[in-house]
Amino acid sequence: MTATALRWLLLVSVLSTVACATFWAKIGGGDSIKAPHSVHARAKIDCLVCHESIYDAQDLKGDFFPKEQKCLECHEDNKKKGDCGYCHTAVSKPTTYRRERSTLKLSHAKHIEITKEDCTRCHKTLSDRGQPAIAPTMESCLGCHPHKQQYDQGSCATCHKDLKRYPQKPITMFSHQGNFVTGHARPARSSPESCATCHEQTFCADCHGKTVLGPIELKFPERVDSDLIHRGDFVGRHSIESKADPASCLRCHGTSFCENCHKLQGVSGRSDNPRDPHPPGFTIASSPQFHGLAARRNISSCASCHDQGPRSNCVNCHKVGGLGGNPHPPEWMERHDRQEILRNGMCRYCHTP
Amino acid sequence: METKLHRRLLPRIASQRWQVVAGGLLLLCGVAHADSVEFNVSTLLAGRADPRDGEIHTVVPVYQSLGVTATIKRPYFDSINIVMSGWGSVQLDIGRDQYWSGDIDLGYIDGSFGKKRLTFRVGRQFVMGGAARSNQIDGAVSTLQLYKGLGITAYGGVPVTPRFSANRGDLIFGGRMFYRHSVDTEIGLSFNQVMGEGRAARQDLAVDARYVPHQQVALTGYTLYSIPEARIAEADFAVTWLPSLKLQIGADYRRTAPDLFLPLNSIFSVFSQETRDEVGANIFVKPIRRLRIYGDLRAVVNMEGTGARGGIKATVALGQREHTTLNGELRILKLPNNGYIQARLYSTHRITPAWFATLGVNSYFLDQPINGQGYSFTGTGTVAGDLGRGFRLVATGIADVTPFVERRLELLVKLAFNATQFFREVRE
Repeated sequence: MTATALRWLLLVSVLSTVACATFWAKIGGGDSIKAPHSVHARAKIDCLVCHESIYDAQDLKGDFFPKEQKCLECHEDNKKKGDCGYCHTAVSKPTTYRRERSTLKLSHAKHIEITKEDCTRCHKTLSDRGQPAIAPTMESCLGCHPHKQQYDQGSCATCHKDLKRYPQKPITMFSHQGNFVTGHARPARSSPESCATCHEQTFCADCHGKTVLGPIELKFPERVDSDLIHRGDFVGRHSIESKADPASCLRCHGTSFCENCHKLQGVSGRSDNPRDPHPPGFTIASSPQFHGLAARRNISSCASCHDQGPRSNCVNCHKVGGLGGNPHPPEWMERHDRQEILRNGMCRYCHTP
Repeated sequence: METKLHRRLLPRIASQRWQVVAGGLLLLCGVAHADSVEFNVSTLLAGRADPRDGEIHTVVPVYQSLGVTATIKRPYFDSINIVMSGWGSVQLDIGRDQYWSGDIDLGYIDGSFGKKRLTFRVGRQFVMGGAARSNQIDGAVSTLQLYKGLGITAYGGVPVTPRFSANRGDLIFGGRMFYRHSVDTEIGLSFNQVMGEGRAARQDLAVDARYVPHQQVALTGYTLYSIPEARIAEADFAVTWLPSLKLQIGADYRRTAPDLFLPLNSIFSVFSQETRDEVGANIFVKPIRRLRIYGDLRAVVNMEGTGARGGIKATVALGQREHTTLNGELRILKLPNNGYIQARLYSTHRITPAWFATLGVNSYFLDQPINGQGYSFTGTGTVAGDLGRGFRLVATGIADVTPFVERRLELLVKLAFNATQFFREVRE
């Protein structure tokens, strides 16, 4: 255990404890109201009977939940009997509904008029006992409002006050259907701002973070539907995957990431008791398994164990005058002149200026 | 080999962690003035067998993570956000040792002025898009909208070093000039340079574009050019046709030069001049409401020869309220002298509105056996649900048989807490 690691852990633990304590002091152990929509719907109670104030609402800033008096119109007996738990989850400190911040600009008054008071046109799924409120999806909005012009101009603010808090999935360019996870780099590279309208950087950090605690498969084992790269026995197939697409590995993992594990597993030359992972004929020039051919085909595979700068074992044989000869690819001299040896210290691992 | 620049930068990098701590404390001060604060706290406990050094180690890691997002409304600013995300862990290697670890994933303050005409972000963050791709840096990024969709982004800082890995460079800087015609159409020209050990580890120029010529068709293109090597490091072009929400067809082509993804200050960057091409198509189909099918097939061409990768995945929703799904996936990767076939079956079931369970098996059949074994099986089962008041519980069991372990069992329990607290009401 290093002192630095301990300091970090202490810092995070203190922050976590303070955060939890703040919440428990403010809202922790608080009350919530049990109001199962399904039970009320089965009893054929019209939505507007409970949500009266929504009828004239021009925006979402008001309080549209029914007051206790409204509930007592039907459930007064329960209150008289002292059965507070019929509605309240924490009867010792009863409160009212928890307020949610609105993220949309929307007039219920206009929509109620257009839909002829049929709330299910937009609210296709409703929350039930213990569930948070479920807002209509953007798909149900676009069923009536194409918003073509606003969409083309990127005027999301016509409806959305804060896109980061709302699940928006526009179609065509940003369609999230199919295998979006593996292809998401394409729209992200050419439009990072578009991604940022819905996704915070914390969302990106789950997979792309260089300092995260582990792979996303470990953090979110419940996300079985996502096409995550390292799912299943990735260790068993990683050498095949790295041959199929070496650049894909190197985007996130430096070669020393590979080397650290290979050293532990005893397949690196720097291990205490190394096992030779190379195929037979690796040092025989006439062999189809000759290491020179393998290096030309997949140099990142070599680098995953041998990348130690001037101490790399390649330097011993391939430096000027060494047995290994010139290792540069055929067109190398077209792009690099001899003067580069003076400018680039790395050249001097093998060349004398 | 050290240069003057390297020697000058080394002490700075050594003190980088304390700078992050100091920055974190400053951010905390900002949080104290927030109008709303969103908390995310997770505790994760796992137990598993870890094959290492030719032995099976029983390890029990405990992870604690914390994320805080604070929003402040102030005059002259469109918004100010403070984001912090970090974690700490102790990994108990039973009967042997214990390892402590922890880090800050993100810690930045961002804001915008003049209806988002000028935005800035300072701290540990991602810089994305164009030649920067997806780089994590300790530094600053700013975007200025110049005129009618024309804008420029500039950034600079120190690349964040991945854990268990070597320094990713001492300095990174670059920028992207873009013209955004609409939400669907944009073109960008960008430059990115990374300095490592006093030399250029990367020096790239990139052009990216996206265009929707018709409501149903989207085109994207990207080219990354290595200036010192005078070669294309990556070129990627794709077209997507979306005639309806029930059908999506795409085709793409990608060329990479894998050796150019090694830093130019690595000795290995002088050995090779590889190219790898991948071309293929994909289709998503939803013939009926309860059935979704995705398939793709690509040819892979590299210096070893031609191979292919592809697969098909189907999802069926069952039950009156579609609370159960059955999923099957078959994938194949064939290279000239290696490859595998993957077969995966899994199911999800919503037990109650707040709780759900998953069960699955994932198997690989390798062309070339490893340690004399040509297959691996992984079985997983998960129960997850909301406990109310922002708490969420996930319990997972994983059992596997792989070429590296005869059998292994891993258990994982996660308790997460998410909540938002409004300290002041914001009138808009």
